[in-house]
Amino acid sequence: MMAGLSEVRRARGGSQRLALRVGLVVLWFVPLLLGGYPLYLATEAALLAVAAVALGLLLGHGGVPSLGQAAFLGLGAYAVGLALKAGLPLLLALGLAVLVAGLFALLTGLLVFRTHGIFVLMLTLAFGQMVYSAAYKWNALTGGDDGLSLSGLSLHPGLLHLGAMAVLLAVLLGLGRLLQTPYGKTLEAIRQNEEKIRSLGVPTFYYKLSLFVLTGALTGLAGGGLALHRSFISPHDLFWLTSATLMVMVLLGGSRGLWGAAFGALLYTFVQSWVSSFTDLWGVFVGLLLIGTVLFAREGLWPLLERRFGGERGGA
Amino acid sequence: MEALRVEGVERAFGGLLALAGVSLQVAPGERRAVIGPNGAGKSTLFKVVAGELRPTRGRVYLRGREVTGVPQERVARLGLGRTFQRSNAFPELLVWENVALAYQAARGRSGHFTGPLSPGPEVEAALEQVGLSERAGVEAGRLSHGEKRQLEIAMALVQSPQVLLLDEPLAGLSGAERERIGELILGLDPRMTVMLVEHDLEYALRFAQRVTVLHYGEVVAEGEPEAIRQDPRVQEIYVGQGWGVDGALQSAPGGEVLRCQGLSAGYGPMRVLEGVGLQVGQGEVVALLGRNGMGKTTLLSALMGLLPLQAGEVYFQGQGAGRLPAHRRAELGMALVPQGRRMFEGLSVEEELRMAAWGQQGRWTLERVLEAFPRLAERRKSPSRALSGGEQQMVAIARALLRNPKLVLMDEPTEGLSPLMVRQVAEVIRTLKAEGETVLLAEQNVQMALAVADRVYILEHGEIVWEGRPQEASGAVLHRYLGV
Repeated sequence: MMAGLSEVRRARGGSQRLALRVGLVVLWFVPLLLGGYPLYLATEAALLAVAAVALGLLLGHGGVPSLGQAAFLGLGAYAVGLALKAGLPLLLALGLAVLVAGLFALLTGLLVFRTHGIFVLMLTLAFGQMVYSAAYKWNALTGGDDGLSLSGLSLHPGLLHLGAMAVLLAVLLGLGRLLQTPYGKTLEAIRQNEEKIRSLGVPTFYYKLSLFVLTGALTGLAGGGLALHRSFISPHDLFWLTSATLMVMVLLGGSRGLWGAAFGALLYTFVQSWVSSFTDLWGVFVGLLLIGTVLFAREGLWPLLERRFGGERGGA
Repeated sequence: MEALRVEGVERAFGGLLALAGVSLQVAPGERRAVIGPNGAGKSTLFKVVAGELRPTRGRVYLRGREVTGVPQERVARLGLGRTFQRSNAFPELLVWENVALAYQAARGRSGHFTGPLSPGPEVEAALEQVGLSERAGVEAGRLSHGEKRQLEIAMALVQSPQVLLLDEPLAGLSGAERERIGELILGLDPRMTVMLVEHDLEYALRFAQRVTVLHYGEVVAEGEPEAIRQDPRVQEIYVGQGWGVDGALQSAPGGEVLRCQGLSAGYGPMRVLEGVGLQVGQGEVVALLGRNGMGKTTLLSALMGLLPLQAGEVYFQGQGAGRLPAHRRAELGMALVPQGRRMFEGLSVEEELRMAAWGQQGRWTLERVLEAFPRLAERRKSPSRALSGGEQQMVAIARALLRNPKLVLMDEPTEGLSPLMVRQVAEVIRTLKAEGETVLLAEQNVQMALAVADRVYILEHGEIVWEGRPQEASGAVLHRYLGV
């Protein structure tokens, strides 16, 4: 009975959508053969994509607009940097990044989700800026304006790329699966009609909080990866502009369905590098791109591609 | 032990007491209807019981357990199910997913993340019961109005609540859909306690074993349906006494101002009005009566041009106006006083009126309006938002008059007003009548409408079912509303 028409349609669109996803992943691996700067960018894009996918889940599926994601990136980065300086092994350092960012998400989330809508946005922004100020001022720990250099570290760029891609794929597949579970569907329901799901007996506060912690921890992991990748941590990367950049990536690619956010991160990173090679007016360019997307591809560019390639609708 | 006990519950919104000490007890398995005119506090009572609103005073017990001030998700888990007056559930999820989520929520398993959400036999059974099996794989947002109601009920039923609150499940439905949902509710598991708010009194009285009548936030009567039907207090609430029909002011109708024929209109594919015909003569006050959701606002919107006609024609002063946009009809001399008054933030009474009068010429000027409504003259410097409901209604009517219309359409000017203010509004309409204005008045307050009207139409399910003089209208209204 349940295998209705739409199931059939989904199956048909499904294979094309799968092909598109495989194509994106393959594209992401191509720089591995080229090496050099393209490889650097691909790794950068993959790590930012992890953060963007986390934000996509938070914003597009959970309906939580966060402008404080830079704080999680930064906390993860400093956690890895300081842990390595203290002589801890790499994996433990990355684990610490996840833990610190997750804990920060938990503590701030307890306050953030007492409010709704625009206030959530403002509170996440405020907490994010607090972390930025702390990183900027706390010279003894973070090195302040001079940043934190991890120059002693020498990871093979190809290995780093593979690691980042492994994390990205695990996040995409894992979260995609999570969205199909009762928990994931309940998150969607909260975004669509919070009063209704509460009246059905769901304490929405804990669902939003747990989602915030999960995405915060993942963003922390991405931040830790970025620290390794760039072998330098600057407090300026914790400024709210980084949060806005992640938001732009998500909106460009599409906030629904996770893959859009990853595509947005890849697109943004490479186009920025290309445009910056001949002009300083990157800001203008990103503005035009965003206006174009919002006007002509409301759901983002990825769903547009999916439809172009015959898939039905962008779903999870 | 009662399934539900409400003790002296009060709930205030600002200065308005929506519930003024309501007590009631519902036995397990009972069918209870809560009736009362608009603004009686029915929906507020449901919200307090469900935990969505905290009562200002009083207590609520669910199956012997106090749930006063307990958040709604906890109350739901304690066995209270609820359908909303207006809900589209989760429009982007499939129909079966909506029901499956409700099922998981009732079992406390919403947080499970080990396997995908799947439709179990309980979900299929609930869909089967409400007749939505065929639509299980459709996105909920694509359902028709009636199907959304079916879904809403399926989501409540799959939770197997001990107590089920149904808030106007039939509102806005017509024909076969109405029939279907009505039968569905009558056939619910007799072990479940069901409490229903419904404006269709005939249906509510058929459904209920006991009926509670609310009026201005108080229980004015409670008993078996037959007793309620005969109760003079209940009849008075719906028809009223002590108003008397004011024969002296009956005006002899002059030439025809407005006429519509075979008018049909609705929203999208949904047809609300079906072949409506009515006529308003010069200097007449014509009342359009009907319960909630019968099409009064839709009819006024269609006459004013805010809603396109699906069939029929509107004649204004003999000319076909049914295809003109609203602003053209306004220029011809139609003015609508919309429901809900709508004051501008931060303007004083005088500023509101000056704005309406700007660029207008005619018999109604700012000075004349303030003369006709001395109350507004006293309040001319007050911010309009600070006025009482009745005074705001005066401002809304005065604004319409300042356009010097040939016909004033009023949409429920007494909505949400206290008895004293209802009298104020009635006075205003009498003033208009004395000034020779032509008014088409859509009202739920039968007593007020009959007291000021020259002629009366009753609208039911989108059709005019009765037409006549106010003196004869009381009987017709009683028959239509209460089935007496």
